Amino acid sequence: MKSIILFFLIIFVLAVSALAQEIGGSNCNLVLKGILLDEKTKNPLALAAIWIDTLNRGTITNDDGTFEIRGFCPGEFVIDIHYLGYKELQQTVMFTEDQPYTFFLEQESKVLDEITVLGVQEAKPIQPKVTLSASEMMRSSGTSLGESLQALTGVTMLQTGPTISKPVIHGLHSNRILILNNGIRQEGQQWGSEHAPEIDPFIATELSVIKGAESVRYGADAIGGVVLVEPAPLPEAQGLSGELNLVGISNNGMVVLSSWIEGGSARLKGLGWRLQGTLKKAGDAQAADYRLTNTGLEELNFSAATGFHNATWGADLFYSYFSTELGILRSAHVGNYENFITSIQTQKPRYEDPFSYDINNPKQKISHQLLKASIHRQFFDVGKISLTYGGQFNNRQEFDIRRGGRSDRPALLMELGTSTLDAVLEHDAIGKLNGEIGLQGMFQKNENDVVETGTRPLVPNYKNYSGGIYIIENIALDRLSLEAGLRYDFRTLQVVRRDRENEVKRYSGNFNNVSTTVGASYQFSDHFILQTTLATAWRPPNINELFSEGVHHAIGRIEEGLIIKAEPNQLGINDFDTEQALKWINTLTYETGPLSVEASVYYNYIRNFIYLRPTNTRLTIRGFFPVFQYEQTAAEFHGLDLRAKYNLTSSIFYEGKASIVRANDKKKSDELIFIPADRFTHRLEYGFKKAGAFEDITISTTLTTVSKQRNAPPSLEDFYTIPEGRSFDFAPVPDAYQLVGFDAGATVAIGKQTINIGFEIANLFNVAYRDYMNNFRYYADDPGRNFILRLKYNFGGTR
Amino acid sequence: MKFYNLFRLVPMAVIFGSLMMACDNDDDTPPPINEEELITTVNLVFTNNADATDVVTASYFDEDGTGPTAPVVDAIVLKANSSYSVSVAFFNEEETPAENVTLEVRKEAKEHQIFFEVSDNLMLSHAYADDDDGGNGNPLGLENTFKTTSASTGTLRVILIHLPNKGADGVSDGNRANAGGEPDVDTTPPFPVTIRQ
Repeated sequence: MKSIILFFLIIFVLAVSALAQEIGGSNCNLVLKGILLDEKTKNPLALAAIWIDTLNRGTITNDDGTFEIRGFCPGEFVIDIHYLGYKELQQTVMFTEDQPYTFFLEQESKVLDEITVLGVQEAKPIQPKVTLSASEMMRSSGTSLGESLQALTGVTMLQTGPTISKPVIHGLHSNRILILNNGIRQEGQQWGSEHAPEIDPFIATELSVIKGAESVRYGADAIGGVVLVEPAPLPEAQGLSGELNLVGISNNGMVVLSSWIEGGSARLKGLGWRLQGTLKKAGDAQAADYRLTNTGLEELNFSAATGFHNATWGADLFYSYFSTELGILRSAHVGNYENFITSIQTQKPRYEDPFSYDINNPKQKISHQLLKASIHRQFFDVGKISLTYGGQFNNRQEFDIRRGGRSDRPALLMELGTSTLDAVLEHDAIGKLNGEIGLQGMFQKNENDVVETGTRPLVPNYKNYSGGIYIIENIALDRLSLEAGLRYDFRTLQVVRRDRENEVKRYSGNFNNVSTTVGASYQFSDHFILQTTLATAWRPPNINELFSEGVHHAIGRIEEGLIIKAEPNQLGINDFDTEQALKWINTLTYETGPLSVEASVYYNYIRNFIYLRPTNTRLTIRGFFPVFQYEQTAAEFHGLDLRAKYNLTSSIFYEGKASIVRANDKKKSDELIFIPADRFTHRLEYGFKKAGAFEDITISTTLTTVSKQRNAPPSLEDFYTIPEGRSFDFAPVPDAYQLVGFDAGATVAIGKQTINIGFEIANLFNVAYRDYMNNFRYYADDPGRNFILRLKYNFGGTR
Repeated sequence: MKFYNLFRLVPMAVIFGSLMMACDNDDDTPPPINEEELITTVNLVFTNNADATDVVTASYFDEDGTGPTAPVVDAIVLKANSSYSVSVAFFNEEETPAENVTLEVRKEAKEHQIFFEVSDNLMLSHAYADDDDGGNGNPLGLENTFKTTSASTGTLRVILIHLPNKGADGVSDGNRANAGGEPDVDTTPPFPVTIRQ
């Protein structure tokens, strides 16, 4: 731990020294000025493309042929100039200080052929992908991945108290969502609702969600959608730059410090590196009326990346370490059903202590390491081939309130190792056909340390061998783009466990299936695009869905998987069918003048849908316990995502968002539990250019309305009379709630650098509420009013 | 040139793949599970204070802890108008020989308290006869005195609470209402008790 803190300090010191150097006057703020003329006529050439590949930046010449690119460090650059009817010019420029350059272009003798013209046309995106804007990223900095993504329509959040949250896409979460962290499929122990993705959102410069069932490209399991966490490309030019983020949150006394620093090699052009780290510390959160005791958090993350790129090939190496220690609400640690009922009836937490940064049992300690190595090469007349290896190691420890001095020993200790290997060929255009062919392999192993824990593990040891092969192709015609894909996957699951008599039992299951996708996008006019995708996806039952066994002490309930609940029948893995989904999503984008609208409607039918629901109570020597068991049924999801933006005046801007999902159990004509309620957000923003030292000022207010989930199983009228076969819930569905937020943002120039400042008040009126998708709604309210201050300082950057 | 390079990549992928499979050792039998904190058995021993040979024992047995098998509970028959010394013991019979969990409870006396809930119609009263040695005179509940009066039938529920608030109102007298904490043992269904003339 100490060495990690030291590492973080080094990053910090580097960042600060780079910053000092910056202020000291090292100049990455040179301006490249130039003029472009015809070689023969010496006439200026307007609207020519100027590009500097190593910086990934460019511009277009003005009417008089002049151009300007700002933010240069001294060094050598290759400048690339394109102009229709002229020969391309590539010229190396030694650049030391502001000075104007003149470039001449030579006319091309031959007439452009057809193929070149067609080559310019790009395929329009077919998959509906939504991305957090820069201002949304800024407004969510310091929050978890799940919270950040909630700003996107159709994406909500499944929570276990204030510290654990995971994304929900169109009502589906956990095993049905793939998270690609820097291109690697995240394989943490994220199957449980209280297992958040082990990812530091500060790694990403882009967070986006693909809402279609994109199984073909990304692999089986992506029934609900895909979350993409993308870091910026590594710098390829010489020079040092970085960013420092500071966030302070009043509700739980959270302090977040995050920084990255990156640079390019002076000796070897194309070689770049980046170091990044984040430190978080939070204490107990505060609900409107009481303290949520033991909801503190400590997080330490860092990553290092290096890579080399040139026109034909590239190689990257990335390592990240994520570690967190987080408290579980003390009041959620119920001893038995009687405690649980008391908690539901009194609507108050059973424990409340004054604010503290201490993290006591029950708590979780999690670390996740990721190593990624990738190479790619452009082959002439073939395309780009890339090979990516991902190694992940996840260590999860859960601590409980235990007897006999065992509280210092984890009650759950699991280590999950995953290796993935991807090989992809993005082939060059064959006529109008673009696409890729890929091969993916995965090996995974989970191991429990039962000697250390002295408990029955929640899921057994297992090995998982998976592989897949896919092809996906698209054609860009005039206004129409078409895409089709096909994928084959197999998975072998080998499980070994000790049953209640401590006898070794082995299970093995084999699954294989095909996924398909067809999609089209049609541009009716410059303002109006329609995208439609129909995809099939499948997913084998996950380890927890088959083998969960025993008491979740932290939340005081028994969970049982499909095989365990039917244990006397001696079922095997292949006695259960795979989940099979058919998802159809249509997105309409309309943009004209001040108005832009994006609307998606979707339908998702899932056969053999596996889900967890309350089924019973069980009598033990510790009294009754609530029992949650996995079941399989046929489920139907449909819904609507809507986002509308309207510029009322040049300085007043409105944005409205709606996420609506309906889900039903088609087999039993019953409601499904834990489906997000309708969510509406209205945001009114007032922006102006300058006020004193502040620039680009925005002031906005947000109204979030979350309806009551009316399409939910009814709550028990009598706690000891459990209905047979029918869905129910132990506690009533929480009421609808409305939250008002306020935020203000601005930038301040300090010397040549800028600082972004954000100030936010969340839950302005300190409303006491419980969200249906929070597992702790049985025990306590969600957090109350919260003041947040965010500072972001960029130095020496081109970003 | 073109596809030649592609074919060089394929064997590389195969080598990577086999490396992944290779890190897999053969003996993967997990060690036996020892559920250390399991309590399977509550034993009550009633000794008549007037006649040391009059001993009544009763046990509450749950073979699989939180597993699906329901617990088995003995009936208790006591004499009317008598005073009994009652000791409580907890065992984990998953282990051979059975582990005496009582020792652990006694060692952490300040963090535990046993509560006895007598149904309204049963003519049985309870008083603690031990101390948790915490210096506040708070009871633990492993040793107790029960007094019977007239003939009646009813139930007795024994609850072992971990981390009770012993200073809260009524807790040291055996009233669980303000105790908080979480039950490590809760004999539900309770012991059926008959008091005979």
